[in-house]
Amino acid sequence: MTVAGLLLAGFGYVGFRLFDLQVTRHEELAQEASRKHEKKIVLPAVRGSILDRNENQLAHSVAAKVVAIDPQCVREQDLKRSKAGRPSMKEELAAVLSEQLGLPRLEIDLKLLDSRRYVVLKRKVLQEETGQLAQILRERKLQGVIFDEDQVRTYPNSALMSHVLGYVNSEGRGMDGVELLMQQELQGQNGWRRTECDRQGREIVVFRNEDFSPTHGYNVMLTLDQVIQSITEQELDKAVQKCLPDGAVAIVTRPSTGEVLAITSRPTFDPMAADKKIETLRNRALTDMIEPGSTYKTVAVAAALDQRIVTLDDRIYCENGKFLYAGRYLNDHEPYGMLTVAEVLMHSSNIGAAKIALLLGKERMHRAMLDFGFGARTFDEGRGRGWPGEIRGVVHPLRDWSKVSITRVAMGHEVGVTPMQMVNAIAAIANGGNLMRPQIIRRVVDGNGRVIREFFPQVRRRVVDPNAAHAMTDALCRVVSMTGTAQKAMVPGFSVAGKTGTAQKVVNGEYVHDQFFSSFCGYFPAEDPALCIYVMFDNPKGKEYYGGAVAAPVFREIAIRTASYLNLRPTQPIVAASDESKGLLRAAGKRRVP
Amino acid sequence: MLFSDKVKTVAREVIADFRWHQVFVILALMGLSLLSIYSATCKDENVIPKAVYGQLKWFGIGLALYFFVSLVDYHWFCRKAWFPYLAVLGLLYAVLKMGKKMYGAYRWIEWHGITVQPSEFAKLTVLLLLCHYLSKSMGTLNEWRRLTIACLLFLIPACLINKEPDLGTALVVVGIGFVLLFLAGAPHRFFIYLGAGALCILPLLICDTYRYNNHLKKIASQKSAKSSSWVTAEKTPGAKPRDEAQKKNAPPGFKSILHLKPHQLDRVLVLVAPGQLDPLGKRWNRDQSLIAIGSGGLYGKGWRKGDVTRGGYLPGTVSHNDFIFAVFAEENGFVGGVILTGLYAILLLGGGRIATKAGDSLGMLLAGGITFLLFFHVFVNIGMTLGVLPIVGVPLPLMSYGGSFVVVCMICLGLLQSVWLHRKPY
Repeated sequence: MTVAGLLLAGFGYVGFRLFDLQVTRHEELAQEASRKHEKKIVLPAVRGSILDRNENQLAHSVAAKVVAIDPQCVREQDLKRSKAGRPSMKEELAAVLSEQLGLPRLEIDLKLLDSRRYVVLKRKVLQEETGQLAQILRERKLQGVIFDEDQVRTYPNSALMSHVLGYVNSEGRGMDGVELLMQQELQGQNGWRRTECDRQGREIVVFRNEDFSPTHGYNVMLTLDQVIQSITEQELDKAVQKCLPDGAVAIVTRPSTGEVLAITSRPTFDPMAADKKIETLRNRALTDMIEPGSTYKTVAVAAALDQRIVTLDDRIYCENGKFLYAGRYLNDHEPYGMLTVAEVLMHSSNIGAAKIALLLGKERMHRAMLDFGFGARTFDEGRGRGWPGEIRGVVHPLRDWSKVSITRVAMGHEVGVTPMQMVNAIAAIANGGNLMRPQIIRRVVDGNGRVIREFFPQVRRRVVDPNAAHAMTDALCRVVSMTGTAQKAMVPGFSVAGKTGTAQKVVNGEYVHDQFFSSFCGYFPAEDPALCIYVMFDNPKGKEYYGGAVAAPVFREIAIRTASYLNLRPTQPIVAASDESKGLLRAAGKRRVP
Repeated sequence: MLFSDKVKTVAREVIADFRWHQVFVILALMGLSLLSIYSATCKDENVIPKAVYGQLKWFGIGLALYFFVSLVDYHWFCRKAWFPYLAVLGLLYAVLKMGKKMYGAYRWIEWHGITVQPSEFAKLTVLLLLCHYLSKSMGTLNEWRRLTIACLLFLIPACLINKEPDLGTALVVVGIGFVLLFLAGAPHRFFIYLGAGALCILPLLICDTYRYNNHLKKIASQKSAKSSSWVTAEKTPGAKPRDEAQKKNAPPGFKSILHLKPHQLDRVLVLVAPGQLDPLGKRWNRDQSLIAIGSGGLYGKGWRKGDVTRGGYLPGTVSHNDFIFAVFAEENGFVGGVILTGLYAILLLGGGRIATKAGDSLGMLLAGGITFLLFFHVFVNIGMTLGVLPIVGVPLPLMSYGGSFVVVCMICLGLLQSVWLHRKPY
């Protein structure tokens, strides 16, 4: 009995202890177990590419490696070797690394002295190079080099389109532009493998619990055209070199769809450069606002035509250049007497525009400004995502308008607009009065070319009726004529509609008389507008500062080359044109015009 | 007619009388053992580990011996116990002189490719001889001479085993000795003296442990003052610094009153001060064993799904032998653990029953001694895997990997069966 009692007591205790461990303390100990040896291995997804509308690569990622070194391991190996009477590994390793990675020997020697166990030698080493290096290390039995996953984002065209594309940080996250806007689509989903490791940290394959292969990032196709972008940037650069402005913007859009074909801003940056100057990162077409000046007169006139308050042939007295209204004088750059509404635009008379706006009334003027998309962000890529850094601009609420405001707003002062808003508003007139939502992202496709998401042209609203829009086009065509302010914007073979703008800059809260925003916004062919182009210079230096003198020629060059690239059929006989553009067009004509 | 009628009836009677449930329990334990050893030693998914075949071979040999021994009258074994006893003594001596060193101890002897562990056989032979001697001297144990001889019979091999060093097995042998003395009716005052002696040793052990602890702390503080870890220090430029450090860890200038080895004191320390200090991961096995068992939970992780074992966190050198219970409990959970202990309980309670029903005092002593021997192994082994007893190298009967002990166990169980079968003359 005693024996049996002893046995039962013993087993009872064992049972109790077993229960205590396996049931009561199970959670704690199980956690302890998994903490020790569960390991999650990340299988990195490759970031998607950015393509232009013709599927040219604008940005793409290449798998690469981080090469690091474990100096402690090297030291331990050397101790072993010295005991065995073999030569030190350190020298050989340093020589191999310096040769293969192209790093100075001294740097590697210094890093080998480090006491940490992970010292990065070089990041973003392409896989061909690491493969070679790994093979050499294997052959010579050198240890202590660690390879980790990395990615290189390359932009084949370097600075081209850099403001649109944006750039990625060292972790490969988009920081600006499309890279940031489409971060979700581009980044893909990292795969992972949850697995168990033995005491040495090696994976036990049979315990591979979850194995998710990575979903690589989608490719994002833009509406931009690499060639048009390149033309635009080249022409803008040429002009920038000539007139040395503080900044410059050029935008090319397609009025019928709102697609942006080219958009550029100066100064610019190289997305792959390590040290980017902060002031070069801004996409001034979207993040900076200007007082547009005379280009804005189109808004007032278009609204007045739309409301049938005036017709193009109505005459307006322009006070011989000096108009006293609400106790303030308003001046024209040249004195004019009676001008038709069309002539007001043609000569860009401030007084005429102010009088048209007065006829319109400030409520309807304000309404028209909002309708044309001013004071609101232009981009919306869905799900509440706007363009990174895009601003709204300033349209003062009606209650803040003083009595003179309406006369100033009509000529593009007392209002802050972004170049993108301006080109969009002009494009609405070109598009028969339909304001389109500008579009930069065309579609998202996966690696097999399957379309994941498509963006379609989107009409935001009808801002003016087609008749008014066509009348506006007629008037704007006269601006780009031998008698208008923008004769330098004339494109041989095409009738061009457009409007110049020259606004005094505000410096320290006051208008200064020697600094200007000079711009030109136009579209062509006027009969069926295919392209709307906006060019703006911030404070161009030199004698010439009028938009018609500085921006219009750039417009013309971009227009000629783009029309040639796009195979646009000339709508007019080629008459007056500079020798240069004659040559260009003759070449184009030989190829394309029968 | 091959057999005479008498043989037939005897055979029929034996088959009817045979404790078949013991056989079933043994077979069940063997099966569980093979599964556990498989998962403890499996490296490659598709290859059955060598250890499983090895164990299977020993199980076969063991089963043959079991049936052979159970059918032979146990008196015969006990009468002949002198020869194996002396042989084992010789082997134990030989082990100390020319044994094979494994895991820091001389326990194995190698002969024509077979490694045997004489200390395992010492348990059996001491048991047999002592039973024989005590059954002869029943009722005369109050004579000091006889008592001394009985004590010497088990203390001499125990000392030799302790020299190996293998404290666990030595304690088993000593334990068997005292239990048999008790069963044989040694005078109570003898045990009172013994108890008193043990009580005297206890404070010494406590004192030793305490001093050792302080000593370790001192060394630790010295080391940290020098701020040189064993990896970088020039003193240990060896390829395996951990081993060197462990050897050197026999702390210079420290002398145990009880002449215990540092690793033995470490084990006591681990038990009494589990969280206190862990300079070289001495708690590793114990902790990993607890983690393995605890993470098993109620139903376990499933066969070959024990990640603590498979990952080598429970070291591969011990997982398939001394810590096989941890492997088993991790994979089969509390339910499995209860079933396993239940199997042992059936086996041991059966043993107790055989002891009470034995035909003579020799049978009673033998059955009682064997039951104790098995119980001690089961209890100490499971106790150490569960972290309640110090870690001593005591295998789990029929579960742990190791041929010698399987053979010894099967002979023991065969003897139990024999005591049962031969309780009445045929």
